[in-house]
Amino acid sequence: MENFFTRYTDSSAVFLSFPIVQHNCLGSWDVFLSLFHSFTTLPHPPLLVAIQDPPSRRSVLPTFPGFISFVPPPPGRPRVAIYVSRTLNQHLSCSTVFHGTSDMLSVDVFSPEGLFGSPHRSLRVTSLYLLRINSPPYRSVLPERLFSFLSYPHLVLGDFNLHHLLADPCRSLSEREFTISRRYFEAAFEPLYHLLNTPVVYTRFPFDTVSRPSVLDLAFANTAPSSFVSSWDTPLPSIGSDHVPCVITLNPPAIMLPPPTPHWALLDLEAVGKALDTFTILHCPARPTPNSMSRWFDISSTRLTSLLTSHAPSKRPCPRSKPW
Amino acid sequence: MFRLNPSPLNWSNVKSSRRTYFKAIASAKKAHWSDFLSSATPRSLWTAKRFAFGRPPQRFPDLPGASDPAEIAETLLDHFFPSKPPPPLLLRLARYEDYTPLTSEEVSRALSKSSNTSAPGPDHIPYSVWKSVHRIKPSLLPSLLDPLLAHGFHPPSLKKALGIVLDKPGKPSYNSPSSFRVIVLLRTLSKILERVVTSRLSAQATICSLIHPLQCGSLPGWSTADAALVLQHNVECFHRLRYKVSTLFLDM
Repeated sequence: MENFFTRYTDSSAVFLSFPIVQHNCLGSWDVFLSLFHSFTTLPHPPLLVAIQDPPSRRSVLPTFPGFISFVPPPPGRPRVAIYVSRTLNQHLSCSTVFHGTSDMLSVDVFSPEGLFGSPHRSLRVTSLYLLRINSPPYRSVLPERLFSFLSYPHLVLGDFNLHHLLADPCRSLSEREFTISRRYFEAAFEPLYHLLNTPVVYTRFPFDTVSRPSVLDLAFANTAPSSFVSSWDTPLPSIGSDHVPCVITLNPPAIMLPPPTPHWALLDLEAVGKALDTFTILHCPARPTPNSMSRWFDISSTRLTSLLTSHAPSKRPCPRSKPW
Repeated sequence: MFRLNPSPLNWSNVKSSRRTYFKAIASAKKAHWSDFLSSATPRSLWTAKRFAFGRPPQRFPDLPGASDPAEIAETLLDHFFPSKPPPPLLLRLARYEDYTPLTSEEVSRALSKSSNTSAPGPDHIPYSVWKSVHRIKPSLLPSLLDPLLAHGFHPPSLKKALGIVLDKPGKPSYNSPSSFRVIVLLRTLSKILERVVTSRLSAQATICSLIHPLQCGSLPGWSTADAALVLQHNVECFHRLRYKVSTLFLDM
């Protein structure tokens, strides 16, 4: 997989981009594999993949190299899943938030220094699959549970199974469709969520030739989209599902990444030997206090470890990456 | 053949061929699995377990009142490492008068027991590096660690550790810190010093007869088999004297 980090400068680096992919896999392993293989066509591989109706066997999801999967806990077959890139998980803390239903799952991405050049330390991404039910509100999750006042950026992505004029202005809605979707959109607008979809860009192309294309896959963000969302698009090809994968690109999160660790297996022992010939440990204080002793030990051990570190090349993000 | 000539006879041939094909696949899989299990080594046993039961799901602490990772880390730290009153402040560190200086042989012994694959602590330096350094310049590590032993001082920087939180399998819920355990990764330099102190204490305890003669744990040359033999011996002694024997095991 392409190395999408900038080279480290001054022991720090930033992500170039923060793509998030959302797709309904129809419970198909083929669609799942095609989706993940299609990421090679993207300029930057996604860091989060929000999947609705993922394929699963005994509640265990398929794996894909480079990603960790999260699903709502049992009971019940998971209806949503979030795949987190191992690269993201190595550099930022990711924790799951369960909502007591198998139709909804959130992942919190956390950076102590703040994300997107703002003081916000968290980003919450929610994957959602609204299933049709026969009683009000006619969808499996109440609108009030989806959108809430949060002090940090929140993205709600999913297959809403809703038609609304804001997403699809060319569609003539029935009274029932409008009533159902209005409740969800009003619940989104009250805590100031914005729809990210580009109107009239269809996300579902039914297999039969009778039904019209529609916009069922919606994305909402709770702050001004321009502040951290860069784009919403459907650049990936159709991969066997009647839905089209959506790619939401966030602004680079502007985080300080930890410096690369030394590759101790490649330590230059000959050079270390020469350097250690002239290296001496400083004299311990004659009548030390705990503080002076601590200081002496820290200085001495840091000098020694710095000498060793300087003779070991840095580890690369993956064995195929170019050297730093 | 069935596509060219869709007759009932061909259809029954298709069905029987298909059945034979899938049966052959199933029996090949079964034979391969049996072969794999029969040639399983202690290492590959865990691979077999993973194949049979699948990977356990990854669980995150879902702790009430802790919404972000910083708060989760704080809650886990409070649970596993509750704050203690600070030790009395020493103004001066006195050097022990009858102190035996640390030798390079002692460091060699401590390093020889250390695994190169052991996970390092916050400084990311594995034992293999210290072994190389000690081989190149045997006086270096003793001169760094000796003053600490001579003054009986353990610096705070050696107490800093990386904590890896692992979930305990089979818990009904994972919303309490007690459903997790923490693996603490100390700096390898700290563990070398600890090994040196342990071997000195162990030697002193043996010399001064401070350890019970039947103590089997944490002593070189003694193992669980010895403990079991001692227990069996005691039981049989009492049986010979026609006593009834019961054993109480305590997990302290």
